[in-house]
Amino acid sequence: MVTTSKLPAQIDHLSSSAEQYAAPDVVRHQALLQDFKSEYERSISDPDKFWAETAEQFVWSKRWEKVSEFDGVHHKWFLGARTNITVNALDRHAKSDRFNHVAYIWLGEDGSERVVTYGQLYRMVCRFANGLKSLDVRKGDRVIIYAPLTIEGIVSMLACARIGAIHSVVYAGLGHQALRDRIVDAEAKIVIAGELGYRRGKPVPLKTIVDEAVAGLDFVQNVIVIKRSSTPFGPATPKEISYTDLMKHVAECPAEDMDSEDPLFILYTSGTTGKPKGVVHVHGGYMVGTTYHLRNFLDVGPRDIFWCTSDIGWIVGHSYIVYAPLCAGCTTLIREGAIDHPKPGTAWRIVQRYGVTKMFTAPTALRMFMRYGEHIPSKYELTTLRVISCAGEPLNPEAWRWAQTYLGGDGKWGYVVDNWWQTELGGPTLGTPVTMPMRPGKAGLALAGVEADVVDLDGNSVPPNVGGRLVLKRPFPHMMRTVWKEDARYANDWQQIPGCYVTGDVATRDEDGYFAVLGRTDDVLNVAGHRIGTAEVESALVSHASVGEAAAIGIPDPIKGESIKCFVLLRQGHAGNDDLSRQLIEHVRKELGPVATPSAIEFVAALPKTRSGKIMRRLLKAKETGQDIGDISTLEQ
Amino acid sequence: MANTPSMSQVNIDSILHETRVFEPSPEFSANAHIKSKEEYERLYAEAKADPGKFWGDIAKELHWFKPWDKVFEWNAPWAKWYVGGQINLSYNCLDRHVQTWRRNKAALIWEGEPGETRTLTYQQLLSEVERFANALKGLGVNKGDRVAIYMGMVPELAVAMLACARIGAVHSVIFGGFSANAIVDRVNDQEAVAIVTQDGSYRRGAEVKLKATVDEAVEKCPTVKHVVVFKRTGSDVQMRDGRDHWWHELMARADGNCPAEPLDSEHPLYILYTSGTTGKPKGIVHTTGGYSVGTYITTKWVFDLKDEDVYWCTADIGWVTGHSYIVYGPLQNGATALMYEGAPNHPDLDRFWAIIEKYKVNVFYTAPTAIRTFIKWGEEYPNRHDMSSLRLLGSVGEPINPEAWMWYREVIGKNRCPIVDTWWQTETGAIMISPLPGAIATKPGSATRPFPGIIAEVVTRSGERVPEGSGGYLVIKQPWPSMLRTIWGDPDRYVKQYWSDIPGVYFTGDGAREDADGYFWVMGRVDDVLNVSGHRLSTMEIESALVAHDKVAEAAVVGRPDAIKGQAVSAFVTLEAGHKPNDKLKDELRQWVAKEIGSMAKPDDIRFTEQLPKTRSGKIMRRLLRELASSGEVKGDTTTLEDFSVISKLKESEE
Repeated sequence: MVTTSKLPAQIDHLSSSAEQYAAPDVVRHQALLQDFKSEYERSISDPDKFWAETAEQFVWSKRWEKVSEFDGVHHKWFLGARTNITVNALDRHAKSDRFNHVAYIWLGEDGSERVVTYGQLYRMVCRFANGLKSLDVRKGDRVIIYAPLTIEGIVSMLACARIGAIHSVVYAGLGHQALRDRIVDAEAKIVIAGELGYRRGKPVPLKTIVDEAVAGLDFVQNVIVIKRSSTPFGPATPKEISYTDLMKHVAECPAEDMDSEDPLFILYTSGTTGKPKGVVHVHGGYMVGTTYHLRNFLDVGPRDIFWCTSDIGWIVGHSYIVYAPLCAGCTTLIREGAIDHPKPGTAWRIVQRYGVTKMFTAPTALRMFMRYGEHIPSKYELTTLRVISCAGEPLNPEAWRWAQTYLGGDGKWGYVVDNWWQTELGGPTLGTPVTMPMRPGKAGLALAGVEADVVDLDGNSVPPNVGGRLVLKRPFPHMMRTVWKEDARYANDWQQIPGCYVTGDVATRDEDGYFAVLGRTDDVLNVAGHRIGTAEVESALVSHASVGEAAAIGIPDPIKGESIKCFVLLRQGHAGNDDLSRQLIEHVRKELGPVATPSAIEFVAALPKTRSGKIMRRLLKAKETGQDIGDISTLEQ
Repeated sequence: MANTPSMSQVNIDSILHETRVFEPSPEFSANAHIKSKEEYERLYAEAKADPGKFWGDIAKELHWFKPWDKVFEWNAPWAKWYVGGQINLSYNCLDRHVQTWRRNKAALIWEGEPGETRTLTYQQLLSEVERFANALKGLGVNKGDRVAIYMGMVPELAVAMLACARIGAVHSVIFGGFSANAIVDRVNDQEAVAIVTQDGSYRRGAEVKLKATVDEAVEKCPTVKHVVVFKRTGSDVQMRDGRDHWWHELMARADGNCPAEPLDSEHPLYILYTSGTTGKPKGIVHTTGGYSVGTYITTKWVFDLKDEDVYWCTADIGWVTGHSYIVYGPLQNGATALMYEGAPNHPDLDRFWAIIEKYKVNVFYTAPTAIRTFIKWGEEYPNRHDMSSLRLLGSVGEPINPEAWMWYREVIGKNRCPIVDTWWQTETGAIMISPLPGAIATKPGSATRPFPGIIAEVVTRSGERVPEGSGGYLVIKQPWPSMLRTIWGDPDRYVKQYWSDIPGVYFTGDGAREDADGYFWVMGRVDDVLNVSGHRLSTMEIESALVAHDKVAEAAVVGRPDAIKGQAVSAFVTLEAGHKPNDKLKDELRQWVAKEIGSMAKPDDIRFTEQLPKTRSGKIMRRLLRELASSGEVKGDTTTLEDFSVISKLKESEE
């Protein structure tokens, strides 16, 4: 994915809102990190000291000799140090007075509930780790996990980590070819397969997909089946073995002593663009950095009920369902299935019933809630909700305002904050700290340890409020180390612009350091010499009272270069027609200026999205222009 | 009881000679709340010298809406504790913890008999309790109203109790195995306005229909306006419009906020009817402040609970043990308590040990009757499981025979875990005599030393202290916070039952002796004392001798009238698996008892039986055996008998 380009030096920035919303007092007063600015200064003036102090809070079997090393492309953290992330995630709590502290509250769509303490989780992980050992799984072996959001899926991840095997979770929903590609790329020795998942009240068969995916792959030594239906386990091939049988092993398993830089997992990012790449994260730095941001950015501590609505198939799930909350000894609520099933108010019923205090969700979810209307959340008691963090795509100002008003009580009890990061970055990178004002449409500030910039092709900073490439100028501990078996692909991200990691996004930065992410570089609209980020056009549309969600793409135009076509999903109670279409075009023109005026609006019943909820503009564009669709393995059907 | 012939005697002969002593391990003591005998002695002396200061300091560890003006007021036999103070027990069990890191700690871990698991954090439990408290209010239940609870062992039973406590309603739990008639007696005695029940519960793989039994009872309970039904098994039940309400429907409508009501320290918390090994059930009344303090501190010191412990008391919440040591004591301490729904022998005889292994139980509290049953089933069942998590064992319900104690120590505790043999009663509310496990060396069969603040003594009929080592009547000489305050609706009976036999002291109804080390050896109910040829013998001691024989699993000894001896010794014996009853064995056992304790104690007759008749709380019903031994048949009240077929089986064993 070498993207030298056609990319222009600068991106036009059209929306000029100076709107600012102060952090609600109740949130600011309770924030775990009170003084973001001095924390940030500390992290930038002496990053080694800063991260070393953070790392001191973890258990290491051997201390580091050197905090960091960076050659311009490759970076290492806590060199020479040894630990195992599960010692910090499990033993530290299970072998203390926190044995009975709850790690997970798991909920199913049908209302079923499972509460697991640290003591219980520790024992489950040890049993399964011993089970994996009995199959001769060793340090460095790859294990593919294709399981729904269940305790068993989490136990599988942690058990791999415990014995030093490298897990690679594939979202249980991707098709058999996508799964097979990942199994082959990782040369997995073991595949752990959920039998079934549940979504919208229906069982989703997973095992049959695994059967197809592994057919003929001789290097796959075993398939471990996590049974869920009431039918008894019967191996379809001699390779198959039951999860339950492996759980009969003893409940103590010493953790493999790992080098800080030993790989913890490979996570394939599909991308809204191109061929999947196997992003590699490691035991040491990933643990330190993601856990740091759980407390200091997401504001989550052991007394919170933290609901992360992601899935273990995504980076947000790895970092903020599994590793960071466990390392911090927190209680995480997870729910399998669709967040609006069986009812549009299901999410708020959960918040009310469990007293959820902190949430991490995606803009796509907030836009969905907005489409359903505010009468739904207003039926529930949401006053326990202090912070809703949102990441995955740019958070449209209108969706933010709606959420802040109706989910956050307009600051009476809660605060909705944006943040931006990627699979490659492991944890929040830009974001609005809960003590700082929110600027709608802007993700926020560079977070501790992050030196971000908006630059032109030569790497020169562009002036404030001018669009350009979003880059990072130094690595941090929880940033990816390589791309599995494709180090050149990894290196490319650091080699396009001197001294910069190229994120692939376009952004602006204002005078106060707030970044607004405008969309993927590849999606930038090129209209009559103006470069416009998709997010701006989409947010302008969403700010119209009839629009719930929108996607903007560029269509080749002989005169303007590209013209803008928009796909619009209306809010409940609105119908698409020519009149509305004209209104929306006029609305965007008014908001952003004549240059961004869409040439066509198409009303749709759904937008194509990745399984993690990101709009796939590439797909819309390919359909419009007849181009090759490319890899759509992650498309939500 | 006051007029039983035995009471005219001066004292009771003690014939049990037990000399084994087990010190706690140094590491157990080092980590214990009370770490040494010296510390115990100091606490005991301080409490004795200044009970007001001792109990006042402990009470300060709890939350009070308003502090007390006076620690206690004693106009014998009427006690008031924390006079003028305002407190709420559900606040101390829940709200106090959700303000700390324990918010997300497991409060209850429940296992259903079919094998399912539920865990409730302190936060979740509070949320359920607040909702159910509002549901009760919505039914018109007011402060001071009585609410009967007739349920199986499900978390909702604890929720219902705590919800009553939250709004100041007086709960009265009726064990879920009682008959409709027993419910009628209890509900009418207290004039309950509502009954909380469930469709059914599971026991030994079968469903026990609870709602159907309530339906039958409630016809004869004119004060009951509402019946709330928790859905557990999903079986068909009759719901009467206007009277019957589904738990889940009330909860769906109920508001989630219900602040705890500040209650006067002496506000009644609950009524619990004693199952009555003797006569008509008595509604024992406990009040809020003193009971909170007593159960809180005994749980902390006797079970030595730590935050990381998984604590399991196998009692049913239908008995006081479940009230004090499944619900109120552990929750006040912020502990994690396990709760199991069903029988110990379902699906197999190792269910308890499987649970200990599965949940990594650290502190295990059960009854001697269960232990004797486990002995009968054999060691293979516990030996199937890794029970290395256990660090402390407890016993409650009746005196434990030294041989059963030794088996418990060796087979279950692997000689590693101290045993706390706790002596107390429904009436005492909390543990009265027990080792503090890090401080007190244990002796098999002895409850050891009184809890600090408890002034226990062994006395004669006239209240004089008996000489060291002699048997006598166990009495308590000073009031204590968790003592019963009265018998519901019958204060005269309260005075007569507990405060009249021996002037000025609380009469426990138990016989005991105190040894040279100040250790108490409780010998069972005084109405179980035999007078054989002028020897006053404790049935418990003869039973202990029989149980010490390697072929005997369990034994019950009663007296029957004998023209010559006054009373003759009649023994009912169940054998360990693999042994057959025969006359030769009868002789062997008689000789064995003669050798162990003397020929005066030799049973005159021995009957082998498959099972002994027991109350539902596991106490041997000697009253029935006495009748059977004397007349060959049983006519008395058997409402608390667990398995009616036992009587016919016993009669068969006659033939």
